[in-house]
Amino acid sequence: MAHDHAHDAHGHHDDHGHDDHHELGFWRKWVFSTDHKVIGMQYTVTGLAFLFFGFCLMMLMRWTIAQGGATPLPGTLGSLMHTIFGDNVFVEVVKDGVKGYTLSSQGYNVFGAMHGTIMVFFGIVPIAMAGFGNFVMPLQIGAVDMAFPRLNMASFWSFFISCIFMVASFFVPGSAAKSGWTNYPPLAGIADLPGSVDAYGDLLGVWTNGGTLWLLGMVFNITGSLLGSINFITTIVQLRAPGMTWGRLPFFCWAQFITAYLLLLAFPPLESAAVMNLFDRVFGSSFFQPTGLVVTQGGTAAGLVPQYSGGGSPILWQHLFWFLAHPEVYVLILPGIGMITEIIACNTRKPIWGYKAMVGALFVLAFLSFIVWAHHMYMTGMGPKVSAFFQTTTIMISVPSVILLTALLLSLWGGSIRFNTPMLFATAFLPMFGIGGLTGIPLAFNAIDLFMHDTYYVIAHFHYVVAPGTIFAIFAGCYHWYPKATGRFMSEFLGKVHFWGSLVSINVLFFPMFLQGMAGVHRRWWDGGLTYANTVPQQYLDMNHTVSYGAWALGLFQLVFIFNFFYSIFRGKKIPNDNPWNATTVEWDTPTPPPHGNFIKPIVVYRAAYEYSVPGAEKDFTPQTEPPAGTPPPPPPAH
Amino acid sequence: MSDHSATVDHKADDHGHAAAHGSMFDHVKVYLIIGALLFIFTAITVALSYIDFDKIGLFIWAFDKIGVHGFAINIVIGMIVATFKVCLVGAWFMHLKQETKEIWRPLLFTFFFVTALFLLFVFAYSDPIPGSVHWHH
Amino acid sequence: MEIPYTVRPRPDTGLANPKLGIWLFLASEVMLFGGLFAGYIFMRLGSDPWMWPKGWLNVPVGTFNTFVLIASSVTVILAWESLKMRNLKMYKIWLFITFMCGLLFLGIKLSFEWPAKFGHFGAYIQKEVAHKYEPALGNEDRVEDGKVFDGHLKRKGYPRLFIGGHLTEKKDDPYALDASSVPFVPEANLDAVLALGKDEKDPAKKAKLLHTREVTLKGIVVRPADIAELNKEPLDPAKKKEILQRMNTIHFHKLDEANGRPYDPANDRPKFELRPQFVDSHLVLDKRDLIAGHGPLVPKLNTYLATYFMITGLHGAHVLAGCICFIYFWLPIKGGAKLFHTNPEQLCNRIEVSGLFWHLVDLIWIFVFPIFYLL
Repeated sequence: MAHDHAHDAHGHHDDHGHDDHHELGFWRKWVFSTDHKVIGMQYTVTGLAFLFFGFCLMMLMRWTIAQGGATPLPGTLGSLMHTIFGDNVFVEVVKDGVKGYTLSSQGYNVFGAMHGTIMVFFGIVPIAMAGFGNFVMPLQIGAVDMAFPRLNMASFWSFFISCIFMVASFFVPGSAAKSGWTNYPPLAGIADLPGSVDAYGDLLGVWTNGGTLWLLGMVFNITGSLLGSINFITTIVQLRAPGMTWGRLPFFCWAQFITAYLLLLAFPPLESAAVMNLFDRVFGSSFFQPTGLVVTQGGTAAGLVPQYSGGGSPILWQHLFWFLAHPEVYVLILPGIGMITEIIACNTRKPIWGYKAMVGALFVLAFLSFIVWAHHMYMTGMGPKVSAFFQTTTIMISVPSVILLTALLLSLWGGSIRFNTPMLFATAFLPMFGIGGLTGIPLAFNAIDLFMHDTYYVIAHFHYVVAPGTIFAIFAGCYHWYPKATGRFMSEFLGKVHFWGSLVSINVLFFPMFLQGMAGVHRRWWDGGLTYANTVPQQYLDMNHTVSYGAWALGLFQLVFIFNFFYSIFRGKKIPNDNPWNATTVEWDTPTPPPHGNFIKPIVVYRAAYEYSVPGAEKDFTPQTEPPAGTPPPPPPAH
Repeated sequence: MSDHSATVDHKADDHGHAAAHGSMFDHVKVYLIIGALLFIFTAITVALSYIDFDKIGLFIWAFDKIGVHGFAINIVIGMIVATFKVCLVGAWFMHLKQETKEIWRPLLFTFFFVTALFLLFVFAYSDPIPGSVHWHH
Repeated sequence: MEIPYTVRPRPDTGLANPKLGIWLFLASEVMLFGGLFAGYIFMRLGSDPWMWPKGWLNVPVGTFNTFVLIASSVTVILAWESLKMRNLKMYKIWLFITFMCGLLFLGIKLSFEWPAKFGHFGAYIQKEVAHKYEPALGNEDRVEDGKVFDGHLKRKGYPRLFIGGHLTEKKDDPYALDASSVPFVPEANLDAVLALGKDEKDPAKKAKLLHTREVTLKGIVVRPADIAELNKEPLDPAKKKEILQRMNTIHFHKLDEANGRPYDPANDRPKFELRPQFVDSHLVLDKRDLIAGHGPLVPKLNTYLATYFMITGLHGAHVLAGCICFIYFWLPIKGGAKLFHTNPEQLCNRIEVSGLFWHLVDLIWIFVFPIFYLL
């Protein structure tokens, strides 16, 4: 059997091999590629661009929050934004004789909804799951490619179509979706429909508006994710190199495996919900529209009765949405934890502490994540039995999360740590993720959540998990695998500037939000709470300034990363050999950059993933492919 | 194994199948029987829907034990028949009877979660805050 | 470069890639339809009992379609067996029958079942004013053991509030049909009507504008003559009131008579509530007495139709996808039947995989059929 595998892994070296012997043209090689590495890079670059875009939306929102709604944006920024996004989003304001543009309240809703959507579905998941998963995972398991390369391409292009829908939605009448990234009906069913709430006649208009385009974008995004997750699971199950048993699988691959299952089983209910919501918007059905709904527009029009038969349930959307969106939280974090694990093991030069416990924790986490969703819905008037059930499961799910974090912390113990840029990000990940996770525990309780719901406390909690959590992991992963993809290191100096700047400013950004949230500052106050100034002590509203400065500083430091990313492609320090970090996992056993088909020698795995500093070994790392002493070399491929 | 080698030795394959040909007709027979059963149970489902179980004492008594009343008895019975038919399709047509554990494992999770989806929705629906007006009215 | 295990199973897992892939896909499909069925459960539990209809679909046709789909499930597996026996001729016959069954299923769905719904009209009367329409609703006839029986879960005490019938297109007044399919026109919207064509000076263009689809689809259907009347200056308030009143009424004719058949009460079986429920030769509904969404039996009318069209629509899309796969594997092309001569095992896998998908489609229908047609 080992023999067969070796042959397969080595297939591209055969004389009668197929497509690798004629050069692919530019389009097939870099655009419509079926190579998992190229697709991974496509996902990563698209995702990073969206990450920056989504962050820019937030920086503009921070201006209105800090300055109230009446201060124009500095310089020509306002008129530039007004030119791009239009009247609906940016309004003209005058302050102290200075005329300019700033975000309108409606624009705040647009940017808020799109910030969330873009960061989650178009930034982090495409990078952490699809990007790194595609690039690193097949290499780590010693596979020549993904199991279904053409399906892989289809996933990316489905994702790309969804990107087009989302970007296009900014430029239709009324601008993009504005019902929050959660898209709660009944608002999501009626917002932006042409002719307000009572017309279904505009055949083009019902399709080309922010809300409908959001749903269409989500349908394509979900389809891409589903195809991708099928591919990931099949690849990990079927294409592991000989000797790569489940117990030797690098933790990153385990994380991808579990994440793919989460996507596979959690995403379809949201897809069906999105289709139902599309029906509501386009065909006027009432899946999510309750009986007797009355709408006032902008607080002026007398109660208009929407043309819905009623009989639907807004709560149904919340159930279906959170059935996905809670597992989605783990989809966001698990690939990040996987990357951090690889980087910590490599840079502490010692095996991961508690590998098996971590894998077990992953399984428990994944299983429980499917039955905690309604803790996002305590405010919907949930009865005592149901909320007790969901409180219990929510508290239970903190146990595997803590196991993961503890194992990673203990892995640092006694290591001779190499603090390069990826390791700095990985080290910072641990306390940041810890803060994010632990502040979530109070929210699990119904009684506390009723007060905290939709306050800045919640914002701070989940941003600590995903921003200095997953996004730091993404940065760590970029710095760590960049040499494999390009053959050059990213600049260490710029990397350290990026790291320290980001770490400080991200805490300035998010920490005050805990205090604000506990004081009752609500997340949807577009003017930073001016309208509700007497409901919250002034010093908590004043914190908006600190937070905004943190946000803009964070934005500034990302420019360093962007510069570093492109500069190093051409000018970065060249790597001395194919395994510059002296890592053990199989992805470093390829030429740099890896060719189509990945490996030039048969890959056989002989040992566990993290054999660093093995006592008695001559080097402080023993690659997984290194045979034990006395093992005959694998037989040459037979025909 | 690669496609290539499969092409080379598909003759050997035919041999393997020739040996199994004896049982092929048995297979076909089984499929036809299952197909016939599906036809019959479809007819039964239709027939059952015309019976008013809420008028038959035995059923009223039995379903009262699990808290099902009125027309819901018909629904439960209809769903039981449908589930039986689905099991027939799954076990024989989709070969789940002899499928490996690699297939069964993800499916079991799927069945579990889809059941959770249904049950918890019903559960969430039927558990209002005491003393409050139910949300849908 | 070749991907391993595309045709032959991997020894330690006992699976080839496509088979694992399709099962994972089916798992996600189960969750997808699980979400839809969960929606169905929620809709049904949450609907007002008088709003969830029963017996709106044609059971004999549905049963026939179920038989067609089951038969195709049998034939696809026979096609696969023939292929395993390396019998190309039988394979092509069985697969073609499967394909035709799929087409037949879709044909019945799209050419008969759905259009039959579009050709019906339905409206729910608001509970508070139901007494005004009592002869048409026929709630008195439905009193059973002193309690009103509505056919829905037999929850007692709910009146029947639905009025339905065939849509009849009347040649001399093309707007009659539309007039029954548009929503209630609030008085505020009259201004929108007044604005129509106001700035258009060219009478020919104006007439065209007033006749466009848009005029009817904006949700405000008025006869062009009315618009012309409303655009006159000065506007006669009495005229305005009269037009508004006309816009807010729906004229019901004795529908079966309109179809050339006398009304037959014996035909009015409780299973088919779409039969006209009234015997007046001319019934006038005030739109303000109706709940929103009345019109043809489309997703807009109630949540039952919304779930029905969505689930059967998505199911139909799956049937279509299966048909496309089958015809592709049937045609003598490189990826299809020609593969038999170069790599029969791969063709066999393809049929197995698409067959698994087809069985899932069948399996979903096994649930769809009773929950919409029978129960």
